[in-house]
Amino acid sequence: MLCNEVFQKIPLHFSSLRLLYSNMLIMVDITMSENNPVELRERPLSPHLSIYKPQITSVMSIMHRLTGICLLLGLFLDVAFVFALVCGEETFNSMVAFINSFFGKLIVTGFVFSLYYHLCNGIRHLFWDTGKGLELPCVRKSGILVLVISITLSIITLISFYS
Amino acid sequence: MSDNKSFLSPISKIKGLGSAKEGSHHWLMQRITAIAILALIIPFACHFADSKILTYEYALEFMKKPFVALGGILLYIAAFYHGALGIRVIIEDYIHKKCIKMAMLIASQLLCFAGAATGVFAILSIYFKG
Repeated sequence: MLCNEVFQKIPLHFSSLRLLYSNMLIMVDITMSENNPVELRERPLSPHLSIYKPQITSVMSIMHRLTGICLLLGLFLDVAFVFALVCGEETFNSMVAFINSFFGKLIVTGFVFSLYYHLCNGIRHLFWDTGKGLELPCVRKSGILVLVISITLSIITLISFYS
Repeated sequence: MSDNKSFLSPISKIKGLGSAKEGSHHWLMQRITAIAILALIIPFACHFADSKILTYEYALEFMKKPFVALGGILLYIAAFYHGALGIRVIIEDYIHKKCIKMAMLIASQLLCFAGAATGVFAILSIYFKG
């Protein structure tokens, strides 16, 4: 690969210099391509996540995915809870002890918020599927509404659960 | 050479590249299971808002109610199906190495099925056996 910028800066009447330069680059290229074939060469990537300003649209979208994963993990925990009920009273009581521990309370809080957030944002997604509310100002407003509703519902649920 | 009207080259067809033709069905099932979960989860969320569920006697008596058992079974099936579809898209998006992607896809689908089966089994055994 000839570096075009440098090559074009060498004037045409310096043809022997151009020939020398192109030979150098070809030699470098040949030695490079012996050790690293084309598919494996390290090529630079322009920055994306590190420079793009987080916005309500993008953050809520990735939160929808994240809460979905948390809900699936919580669902397995829920199955374990009902299975512990089958296994007998001691197993169930140790499960309840885990839920009442600090780590268990953390998991319950995260699960409750994930549930309400994913639910409300999912309804927002269903509205988008019908074509409604896809304009950017409406997207931002509905996003704020989803956040407010899900936080309110989780606070209500957690307070009534822990009292 | 010139009478090959497909956008796919012959080698890519042999390799099995291109569309798997399942995308629209996946999209639709995701929405349908979402609506099913929405309908089923609201009564459960209202019931689980108090911590009586953490006592053995109340939990057993609660799970023995017919509507609770039926709702629970339907909810497990719908939720695990929705979750399996979702985790499939996530794995396909973020994992690019073919062998790891295949292994994780198969493992996640099997785990979701196992989870649903365990949940249904647990609810049925509480209801019929106690």
